[in-house]
Amino acid sequence: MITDARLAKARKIAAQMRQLQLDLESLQLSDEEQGGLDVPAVPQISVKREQSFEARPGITRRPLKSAREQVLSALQEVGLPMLSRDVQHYLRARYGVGIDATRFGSLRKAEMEAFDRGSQRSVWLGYGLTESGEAVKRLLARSDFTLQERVVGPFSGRRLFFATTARFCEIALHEWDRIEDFEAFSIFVADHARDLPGLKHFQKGQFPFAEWLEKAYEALAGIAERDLLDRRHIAMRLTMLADKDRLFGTEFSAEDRSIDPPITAETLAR
Amino acid sequence: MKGVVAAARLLAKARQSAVRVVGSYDIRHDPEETFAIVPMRVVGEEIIQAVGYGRLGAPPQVVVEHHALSRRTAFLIPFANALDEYLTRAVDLDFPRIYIANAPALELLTVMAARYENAGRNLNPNPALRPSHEVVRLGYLCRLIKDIYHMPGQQIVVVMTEAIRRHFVTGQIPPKDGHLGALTEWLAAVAGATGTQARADLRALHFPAAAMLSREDDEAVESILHKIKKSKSALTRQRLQADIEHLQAESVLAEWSMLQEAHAAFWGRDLDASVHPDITKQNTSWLKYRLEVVVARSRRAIAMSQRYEMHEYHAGLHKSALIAQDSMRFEHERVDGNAFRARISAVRKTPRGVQPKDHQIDLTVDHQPNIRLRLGHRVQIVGGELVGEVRMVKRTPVGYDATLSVLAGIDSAAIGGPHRWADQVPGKPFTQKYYDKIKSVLGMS
Amino acid sequence: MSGAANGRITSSAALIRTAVNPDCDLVAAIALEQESEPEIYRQIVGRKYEGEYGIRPSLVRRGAKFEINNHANDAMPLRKRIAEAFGYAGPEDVLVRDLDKEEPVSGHVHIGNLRRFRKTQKIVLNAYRRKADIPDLVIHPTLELPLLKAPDGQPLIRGSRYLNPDFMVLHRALGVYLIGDEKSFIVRDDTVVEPGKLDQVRRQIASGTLAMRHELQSIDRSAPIISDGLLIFASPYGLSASKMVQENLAGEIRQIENAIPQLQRVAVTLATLRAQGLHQLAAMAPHLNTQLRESCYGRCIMVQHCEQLPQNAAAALGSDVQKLLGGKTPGEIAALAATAGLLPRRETALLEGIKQAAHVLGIDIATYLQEVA
Repeated sequence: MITDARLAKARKIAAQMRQLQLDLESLQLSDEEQGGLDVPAVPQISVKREQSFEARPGITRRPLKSAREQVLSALQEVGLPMLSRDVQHYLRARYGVGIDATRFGSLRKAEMEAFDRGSQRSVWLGYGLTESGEAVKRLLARSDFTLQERVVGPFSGRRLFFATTARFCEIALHEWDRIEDFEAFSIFVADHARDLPGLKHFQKGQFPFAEWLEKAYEALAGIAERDLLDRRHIAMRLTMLADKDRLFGTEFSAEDRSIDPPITAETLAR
Repeated sequence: MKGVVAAARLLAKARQSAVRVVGSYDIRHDPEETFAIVPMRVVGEEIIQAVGYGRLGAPPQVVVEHHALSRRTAFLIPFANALDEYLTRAVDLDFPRIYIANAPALELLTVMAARYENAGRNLNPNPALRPSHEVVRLGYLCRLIKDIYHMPGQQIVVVMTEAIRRHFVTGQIPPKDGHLGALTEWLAAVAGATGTQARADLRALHFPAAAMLSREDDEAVESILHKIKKSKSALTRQRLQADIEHLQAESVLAEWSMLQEAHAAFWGRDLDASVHPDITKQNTSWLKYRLEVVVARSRRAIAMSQRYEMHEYHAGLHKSALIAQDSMRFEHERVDGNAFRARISAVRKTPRGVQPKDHQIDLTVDHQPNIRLRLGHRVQIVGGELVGEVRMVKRTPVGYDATLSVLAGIDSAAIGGPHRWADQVPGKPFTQKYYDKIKSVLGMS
Repeated sequence: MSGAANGRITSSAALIRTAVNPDCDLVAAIALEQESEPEIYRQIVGRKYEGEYGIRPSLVRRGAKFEINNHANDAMPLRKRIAEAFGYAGPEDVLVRDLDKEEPVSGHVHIGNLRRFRKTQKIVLNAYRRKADIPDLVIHPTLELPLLKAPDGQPLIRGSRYLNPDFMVLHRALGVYLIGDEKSFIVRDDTVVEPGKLDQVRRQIASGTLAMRHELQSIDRSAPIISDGLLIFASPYGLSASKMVQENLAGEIRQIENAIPQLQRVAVTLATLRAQGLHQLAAMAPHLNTQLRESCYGRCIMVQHCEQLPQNAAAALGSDVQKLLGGKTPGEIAALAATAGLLPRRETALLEGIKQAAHVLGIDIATYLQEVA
């Protein structure tokens, strides 16, 4: 949460500058034409997030990594829990990495088995958790995200939509020269940004990332605090969970209905 | 009507051949040149992937788009131009006649109309994705076709399955009558034939006849599209593309020949000819005006209620005309109670100079199980001038006695008969009178 | 005919088919036994089913894509339609919970159903109790049909008593949810382009609404009785969602309700046949009553088989012919016509109707009866 007004303003200006640079790029001027312009160099401003970024060279194509590693690093870059669908599209556009949608189920299974075996891993692939501690199976996260960041309250779906859209815009603005398929990535961002509230004209084929970023922050400001409060509460309640459950969600066996005690209004209230 | 159709169905089954339920065609014979449209859609998406078009009786022109979901529409341009040319020519020569095989094909054209006209109005910001003006015009022409189709008694657009079912009844269970091939088997079979049902079932099994590819061909196209996506060689892609286009063209040709067969069988049954010069002229001039001037859809309430009024008028006119020309149709109406036979037993004319005028006639109505004569009901002699409003109805041992106030045609009233009576032919609604007045003032036909 | 990929009918489809033809034991038995339809056809008829079976791949894809689009970005397209239809200030006021995100429908079927069902129960309960922050829109709820139990308490439809409607929307004033379905059929001018399919969708929603009624009843006997459901279709332009429509489904719900005792009856019949040593459905089929109707065409794979059965001869030409003949065969009618004495009123009316019809066709009744009998 950005609380420093100066910093917020700086971000805004930097984003606008990035956008302008992108717009300039899209004109595709020749070297000569460009020489005639008097464009000052744009300083690189990148705001550090809570987690540290991996130091990354300028190459876009990644060395062969397992699907698990790809997913984990996507999550690290974005710094937020992400829907598996978004991870899939993100990796495809950003790095040209293809992960089949069906893969995520087996990733979960494999991860849980590794945990049961007692494997040592610096970071685990984890999941979003509902207020009852159950997994949100399509919401992927890293074990080094705080519990508070991983739990899901009534407004978290909305908040994550705004926050991840903002983050995707930032990446488009800051990392545009290190994106494998910028066109596909732009469309990926646009597919999210189109549903931001307060967006006046959404034009297909136009990508005003800076404007979208601003709108996303505005939207976020509306619910971020409320959502944070809810998540704090939920996280507090869930700290009692066992390690495994805190990572993958509680798992109860699929009993047959006939063995279950009848679900009544009273038992649910407990 | 339902009872008659049911009885006909039993008879058709016994004869193993379709039975007619009317005496005359409700459409005129074809003009010199007809135009048939046989489209193929991608199921669910309602997108055209192929179209066969041209004169029935000759092989069709076929245009295809191997990857219909790409939303490319350039392939439709020759079709659009051919349709436009045909319509423009035909409205001047005689009248246009457009043949469409079945309801799904008409629906497809209707969806196309909405889409392409809309694409013309709301331009896609990406110029590469905008359909050409010929295709936008095609959308407009399809809307005109749809609008004409909904006009009662219209003579221009013929949906073959529906036309057949209006005139003939097969000997199979009604759900099977949706298949043009099955219908045609029954229509073409001679009374006393054998195995008609089996042949009809076979036709329905192997070909959907619903403006779509067979399941097999559909799946083949899917798998070839998949291969194209994966292929690295332009030559291979070309070859595979040609494979798809071949499958599409084959399907079009199959449905085209089914339509031709049905057309021949339909007219071959040799019912009495229909007589609808007025409505044909009206349809044609309606169309001609709209070919020259692009008319937007009426969305305002007044325009829509006017259209409704005209619709009701034409429906009534059409029905009266059919009853007049076709004694079998008259009998249908009798069975349903909407028409009757009666003698005029007395005529009471109000003497000249006396007001108010209330000419009356008495009728002796033949017995029939159903009759809908009620106070205030307005009836007219079929094909005649005499119009009366029911003042009194009474049952008798042999039928009914009725007294009518004569609203028109008292001079033609004379004791005698029997005459055929049916609902009053509707008078021109205000809208029509208004248009007629304007046309006469402007000197238009 | 649209069965699932494995040929098995879902529980809601089973209910619907039985509802549409409650006098046919065979269709109920196929639904109960949960065997693959083409396989059953092969076993009973003795050869492979040759016609088209199952939804076309393009439709499956389109439906899946439609859903994905509608559920993206915290289900914004659905939120927009809900805001319009229910008078919210805007889509941002619509709170969403997506159970498919938590427990994917495409995952393990039984565990998924159970878990989603429990979550759904909790949501429904909390909404009824007017708790705070209740979702206005729940995607992929799961409900149970507790009446689908055989007398011994076991589920009637083997392995499947859950329904999975597409979504449900909160009716704030009443504190209850309305069941909804999203279908990628195209609507134009506020009418579905393929109206035959509309009935099917309404029955599906009706099944879900019936299940919701039971859930509410188990919370509170005096809970409101819902009769309305929600529909969303696609516009002709691309795959965008059209307006949301709320419809009264009391008739369809009644129809589905009536199907349940029929299923229970047939379950008893099957149990009896099993006790007699017949285990395969194919072996039991000859002992099961069939009822051929016009609605069977395009709906049930067995129609070609049932057409041939002598017991269905009277129905073989459709309901209008049956009505004309008063349920008798042409031969029986001919015999009636040949009767010398006075006939009861009904038979007289029947004959009169046929006589009139024959007259219109230009043929006298004697010749007519001779030809058709």
